[in-house]
Amino acid sequence: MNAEPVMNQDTFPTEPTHRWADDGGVLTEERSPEPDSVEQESVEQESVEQKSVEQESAEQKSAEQESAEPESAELEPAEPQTSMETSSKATSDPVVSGPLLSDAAEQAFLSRWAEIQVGFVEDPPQSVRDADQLIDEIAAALLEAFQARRTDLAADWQDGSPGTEELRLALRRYRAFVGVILPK
Amino acid sequence: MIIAAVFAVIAIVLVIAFAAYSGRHEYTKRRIRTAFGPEYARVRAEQGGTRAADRELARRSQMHDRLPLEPISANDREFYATSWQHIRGGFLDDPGVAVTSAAQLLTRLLEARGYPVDDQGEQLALLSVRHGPALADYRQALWVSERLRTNPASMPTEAKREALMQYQTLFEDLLTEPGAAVSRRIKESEVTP
Repeated sequence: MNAEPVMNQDTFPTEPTHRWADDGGVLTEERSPEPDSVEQESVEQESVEQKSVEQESAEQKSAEQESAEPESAELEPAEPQTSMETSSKATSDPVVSGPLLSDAAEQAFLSRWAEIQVGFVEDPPQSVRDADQLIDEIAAALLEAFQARRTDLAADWQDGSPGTEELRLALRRYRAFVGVILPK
Repeated sequence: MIIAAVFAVIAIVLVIAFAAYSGRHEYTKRRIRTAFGPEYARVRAEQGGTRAADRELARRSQMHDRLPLEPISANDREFYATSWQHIRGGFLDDPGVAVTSAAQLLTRLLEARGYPVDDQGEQLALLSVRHGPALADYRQALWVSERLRTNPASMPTEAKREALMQYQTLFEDLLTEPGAAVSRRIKESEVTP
C-alpha cells in the first residue's frame, strides 16, 4: 500500500535507460568496434518504436540524442516526490539497493541486444521486431524483480505490530529502493 | 599408289591431331569460361570479342598463378570475423562510417591474402579468377563507396545497408575459400613456439 507509487508502471522502465544512456553516449564517439560498445551503444535506444520510425533517417545519431532528452525530462516530475538525497543516504542493503536483475540475466539480455544490433544490416524489419520483443521480456523480468523486492520490504512491517523504530528502519529500506529505481 | 596411300594416311593423322588439339583447346576455354562465371560475359563485352576475352582470361589465370596467396591464420580469421561483426553493429549509429570501415577491413584482408590493393582494375581482374561470382556485389559496393566519398549525402541508408551486405559477399568468400584459412592444428603449432 505504501509502496504503490513505486510500482507505478510509468516510472520503472526509465531506470535502465537512464543509466545506459550515459555509457552509450561516450562509446558512440569512440566508434571503436568492440564487443562491449556494441552492447552498450545499444542501450541508447530505449524505445524500439522510435527507432523503427527513424531508422531510415540519415541523422540517426542526433535523433537518438534528442530522444534521450524527453526520456530524462519525464523523470523530473517523479523526482520531487521522493526525498532529496535518496541515493546518497541509501543503506547498503543488497536485497534492496542491489541491481534489479542478476548479472547473468542482464548479460543474457545485453548479448541478445548485441545480436539484434548486428543483425540489422541483414534484416532491418526483423531486427526491429526482435528489439520490441526483447523490451517486452526485459520489462517482464524487471516487473517480476520489483514484485519480489516489494514483498520483501512489506515483510518488515506487515507482520505483527512493529514499533516506531521498526517502521523507521522499514521506511529507510523503502527509500533505498526508490534510490535504485530513480537513481539521481 | 603407295605414295598416295602414305599421303592419305598422313593427311588423316593430321586431321585427327588437329581435331584433338582444337577439341582440347575448346574444352580448356570452356572450362575457364565457366570458372569465371558471370565475369566472362563482362570481359567479353569489355574486350570486344570472344577471342580477346579468352586471351584476357588466360592472362588473368597466369597472373593469378604467380600470386603468393598467403593463408590466413586462425587467429587472423577470428580477428577479421569479429571486426566484421563490430562494423555491422556500428551501422546503427553511423551507416556511412560502417560502409567505409567495411571497405577498409576488406582491403586489409585482400592485402594480407596477397592481392594487389593499389590498382583496383588489376585487383578485380585477379579476384575474378577465384571469386568471380562475388564480384558483381563487390563492384556495386565499390560504386556506392565512391559516391559516398564524393558526396556523403547522396546515398540513402538503404543503399549503404546494401553496400555493406555486398562487401560481405566477397568478405565471406575470401574467408571461407579452401586454403584461405589455416586449419586449427597448424595454428596451434604456430602459436606454441
